[in-house]
Amino acid sequence: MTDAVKISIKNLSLSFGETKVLKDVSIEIEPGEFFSFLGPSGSGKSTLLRAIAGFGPRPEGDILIGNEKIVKLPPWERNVGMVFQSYALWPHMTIRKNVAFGLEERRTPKRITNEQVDEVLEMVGLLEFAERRPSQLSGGQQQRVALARTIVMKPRVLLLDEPLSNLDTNLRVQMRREILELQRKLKLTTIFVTHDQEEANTISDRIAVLNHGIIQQIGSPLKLYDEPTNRFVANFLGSVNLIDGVINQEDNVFIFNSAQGISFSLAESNIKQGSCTAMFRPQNLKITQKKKKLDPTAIQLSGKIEHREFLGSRVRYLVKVGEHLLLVDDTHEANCTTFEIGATASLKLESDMIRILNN
Amino acid sequence: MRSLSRHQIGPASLALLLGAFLFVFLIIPVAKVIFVAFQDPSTGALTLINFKDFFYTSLFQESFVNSFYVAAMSVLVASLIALPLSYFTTRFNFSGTLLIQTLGIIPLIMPPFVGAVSMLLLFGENGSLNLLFYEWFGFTVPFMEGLNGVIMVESIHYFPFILINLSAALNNIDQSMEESAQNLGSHGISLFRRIVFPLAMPGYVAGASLVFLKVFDDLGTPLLLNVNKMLAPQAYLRITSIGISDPMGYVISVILVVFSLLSLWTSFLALRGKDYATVQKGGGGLMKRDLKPLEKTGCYIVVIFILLLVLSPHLGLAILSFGTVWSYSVLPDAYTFNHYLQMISSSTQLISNTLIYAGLAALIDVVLGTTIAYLVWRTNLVGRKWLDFIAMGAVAVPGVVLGIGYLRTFYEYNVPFIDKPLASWWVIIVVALSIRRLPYALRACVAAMQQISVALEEAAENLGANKRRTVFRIVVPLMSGGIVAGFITSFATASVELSATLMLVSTESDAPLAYGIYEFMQSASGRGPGAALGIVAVIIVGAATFASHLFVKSKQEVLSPAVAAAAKE
Repeated sequence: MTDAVKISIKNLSLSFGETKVLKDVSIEIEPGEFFSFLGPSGSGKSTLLRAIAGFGPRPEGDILIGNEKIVKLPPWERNVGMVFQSYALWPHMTIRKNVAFGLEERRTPKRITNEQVDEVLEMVGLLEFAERRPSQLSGGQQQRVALARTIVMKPRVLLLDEPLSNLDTNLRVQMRREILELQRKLKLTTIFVTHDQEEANTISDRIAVLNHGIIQQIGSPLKLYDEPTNRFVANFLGSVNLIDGVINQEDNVFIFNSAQGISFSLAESNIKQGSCTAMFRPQNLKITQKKKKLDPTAIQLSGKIEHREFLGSRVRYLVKVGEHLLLVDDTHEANCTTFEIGATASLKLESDMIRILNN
Repeated sequence: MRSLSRHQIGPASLALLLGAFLFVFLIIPVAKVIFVAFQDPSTGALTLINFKDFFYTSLFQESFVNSFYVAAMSVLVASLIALPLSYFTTRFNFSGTLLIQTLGIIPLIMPPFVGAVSMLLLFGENGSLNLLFYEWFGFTVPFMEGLNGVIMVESIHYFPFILINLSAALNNIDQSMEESAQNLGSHGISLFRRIVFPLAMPGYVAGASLVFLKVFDDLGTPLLLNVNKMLAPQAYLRITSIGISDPMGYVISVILVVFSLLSLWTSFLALRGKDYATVQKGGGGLMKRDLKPLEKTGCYIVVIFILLLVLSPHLGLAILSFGTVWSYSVLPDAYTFNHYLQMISSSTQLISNTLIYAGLAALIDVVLGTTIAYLVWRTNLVGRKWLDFIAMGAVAVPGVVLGIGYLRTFYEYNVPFIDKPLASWWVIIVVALSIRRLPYALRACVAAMQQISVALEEAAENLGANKRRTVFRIVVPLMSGGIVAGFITSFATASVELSATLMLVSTESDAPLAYGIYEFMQSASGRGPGAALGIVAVIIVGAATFASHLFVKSKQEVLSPAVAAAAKE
């Protein structure tokens, strides 16, 4: 197995006609890393992946694999393995023929081709299906063939374009584990494109969040969830309460005031004054019926329950505080009390759970 | 045996009625032809002697080889025309795409036999082009010599079948099919040979086998070009000159049917299990690239050359219809409207007959087509697939064969009140036309039916409409685009049908337009009025095709969002 290589994307911009799809994108992906591009549809994540594989219009800027600049190479000279969203298995060839295709293009001797095809089909557990046609396999099996067809080429990097989107939920969970296992075994630098934050969180070492062709933030899944740098990332990684307001310093305390009736003092001391957004997750708010004894470190809010959703492991309330509607998650267990719509609720928020996003 | 539920009585009786119609007018006549071919003419016993006679007669051997050669060569020439056109449209951002699409329709609005005579005048031994060639270069090219003429006329007429099928196949190849090959190191010729070509192959074979079938069965073109040593003309000549009891006409019919079935079988094999439509959501079509200026010029030269070739029968026919004397000269000596005047004075009955026959036949076809489509796709009647299968089987029955079958079967039946054999009553022409064109209408109706989500019907039933009301208020209106398309295709092609018509017209007053053109073209003096009548045929078919196109398009715009939304779930 060759050593894992790094991928450097430097100041990459790309347009379809007049439309700019990627704007000055720079990412460094470490050797052997499992890296995800996460974003909504139209964010440019697939375009970026395809640019690495050499498809689509030629971008400005540079892409390096290891130390080689590849932007000017045609797709067939790049040796970057790509698995397509649709798998793109050729229907007129058997599984074996599909997997052998690339090696044959390289004029690999027949004996070696056969050995390597057998080996990789064995690895993905499909050796017994070698003589079948793609249409005779299930979605998950087709997915494995697509992977096998790519990794048999011993590519320098592995590019996965929403590979799980055509599978049902259970299979998806299983396949993402298999893909991760395979990636660890092969120590292959991998880029995974998805619009599903849960998928990205469970599989990635690091994630780049894209929107409108711009990198919003790069970091580990935990970091992105806990410490988003802007509203978009905060929202895209999970449900969140975002409250616009202003921070003023009074004596030695920083006070956050929203225009619609929420104010609290902040625990941190190193804060920029002025307009900003306060962010906290629904599970950061603890809901109780009656006001408990005042906890000096916690913020107390009070509001009316407008709406209730039962989500299984938790119950989500929509609580009106001032003019704001706040999402509140309460862990659910059998026999625990739920709160009725219309009731007044008291909310407790530890001030170190609040993150200030500067606008 | 399962008894019919109350809701099945209606559909079941419809199915029986339809089955009876197809049985009487399709199965029995064809079976009769096959039976007679295997019958000893003197004793009536079953025998292979007729086939032995056939294959030992040098005339028939030659006819057989000629028919095969002409069909195969026509496929080849049609492919040579269709390949570059489909490649340009699917592969490049080529501004001439609309031109190419038009090219794909023009030939079909004129039956091949109508153009045959004008092609002789343009490309024949003493035709315009060869006169010029001789003057400029001192040699001539035998474009229209014997079988060459048939090949030329047929391939110019039928290449759209290959063009349409091949373009569809190429358009159905998803971009990722090519991209994944490139990703694995493949490009250029190797990519084309290993991925694009095999994926497009089924579409090509389907189109090519259809061309083979059509050419192999065609009667009018070889007759008009005076090429008689081919199977279909031989069958016709045997029956019309020697008589209805001569077994050779039947033997040839069986051979024609067998080869038609073989080409359909080839097409079926090519497409079976190869649903290569690989287009994924958001994808579609091969990777297209822009043309360099030089390539663009090259493309245009090829397209314009083919356009001229394809338009030549139409041009020739138009010149012929206006020309006074056109013989041994590049163009006619002078121009006149006389042919049109002559045509109008003598042909009004031909035209009105045609409109009545083709109109009735097309009406029968869409009624049958809609009913069969509904019975097959929306009921669970036992044996419903057979209706579809038998109706489609008409494709494999050449017009000559159906004509011979009708003559043989219905000559003995006198129609009550008018006291005439059914085989020589004009209504039999309508029936023959409707059977011949039923497959076209049926496919259009089935396609329209399949686009309607069952949920739309279930919603009507849920709101209290019974089956019959649902069909008339929901299904038929939603299918109307397909029904009209089917009607017009049937009408347009039936109005210029020659082969079955030629056998079944018993008196001049019953003759339709195609028959009239054929009669006119037999004599040198009739060519002018014949060409004028040919122009009328082209106008009828062209106008019908255009109307259908407009109607389907307007229907699509109104209906497709709703139907598509309902079909999505």
